[in-house]
Amino acid sequence: MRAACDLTSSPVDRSKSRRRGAMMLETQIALVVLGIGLAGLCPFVVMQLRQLTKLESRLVAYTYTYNSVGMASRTAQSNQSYYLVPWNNPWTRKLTARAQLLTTSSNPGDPGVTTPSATHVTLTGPFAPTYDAFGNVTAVTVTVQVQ
Amino acid sequence: MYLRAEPTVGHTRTRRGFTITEMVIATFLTAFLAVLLAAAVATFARPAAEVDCRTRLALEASLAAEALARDLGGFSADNSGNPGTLTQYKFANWSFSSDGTTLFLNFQGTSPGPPYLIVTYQQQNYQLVRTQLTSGVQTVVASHVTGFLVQADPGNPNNVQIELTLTYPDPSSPRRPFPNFSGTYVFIGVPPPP
Repeated sequence: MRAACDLTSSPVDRSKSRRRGAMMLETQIALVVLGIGLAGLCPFVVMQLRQLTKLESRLVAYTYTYNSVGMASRTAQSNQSYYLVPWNNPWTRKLTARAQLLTTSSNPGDPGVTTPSATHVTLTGPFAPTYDAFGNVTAVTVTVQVQ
Repeated sequence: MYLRAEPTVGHTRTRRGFTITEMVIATFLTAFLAVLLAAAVATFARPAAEVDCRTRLALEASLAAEALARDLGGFSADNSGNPGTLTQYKFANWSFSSDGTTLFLNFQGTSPGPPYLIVTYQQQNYQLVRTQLTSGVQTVVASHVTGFLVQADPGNPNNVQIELTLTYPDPSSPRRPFPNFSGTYVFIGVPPPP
């Protein structure tokens, strides 16, 4: 019976049972798997964009202009300018050699030119006065540590 | 049964192509997917490219701001590692060219008064270049520079206003020129106390 079937079937009938390609269901499953894989990359992209935005916000331009093909230029104004403010203390300027990048023309955190105080000077040696022949103090020797 | 179905059934059930209905539906679905893809690109890829450009500009502007902050701090930033006294390498004054393209910063040398140690800032080939004229050392401070303008601060003539325009990609870049993104940064230098 089976031999008769094979003998009597034409080449067209034999090709009918062959699969010509992927079924629709298989294609959809493959696309779903691909979509899940691509969706897994989204958090990394979002994280990168957040980091870039954070970096970009550190220094804001006065004006932004975006030029694209086939579109009108877009301009955004922040009107943000930055002041380069030196320190008031000359030794601070000398040793740091860097002005402060601020949004105001004055530095509210600048202590200014300060005089040494108890918090800056520490007595580290004995207080040693020098007396003359009459018992008057002519000189005082102290050892201090300046912070 | 097999003999009866041999020639005619085989020909009628074999599909030689798509029907016009299938083609219309497939075309419609393809167009719908293209519209969705274009919308996704417009809402996601374009802002991403914009953030990328703005970040590159912010990075270059930060480098330029850092160099300017060091030179406008009150003393010369590169005096061979020798801090010296409070009068040595002290900032004397600034000036700029008549067209505003070059900023001159004059510092005292090892002794008060001239000759000064001069540092310049100017744009060269889409780069902001810092030059110490005494030693001739040139340093590229920032890239993608398409504009550099120095003038007196309109709000306070004692200050100097520096406008730095950055564009990414700049015209010298091998990338295609559009789309591009420009940002103009304004820095105002305050003179140090005497």
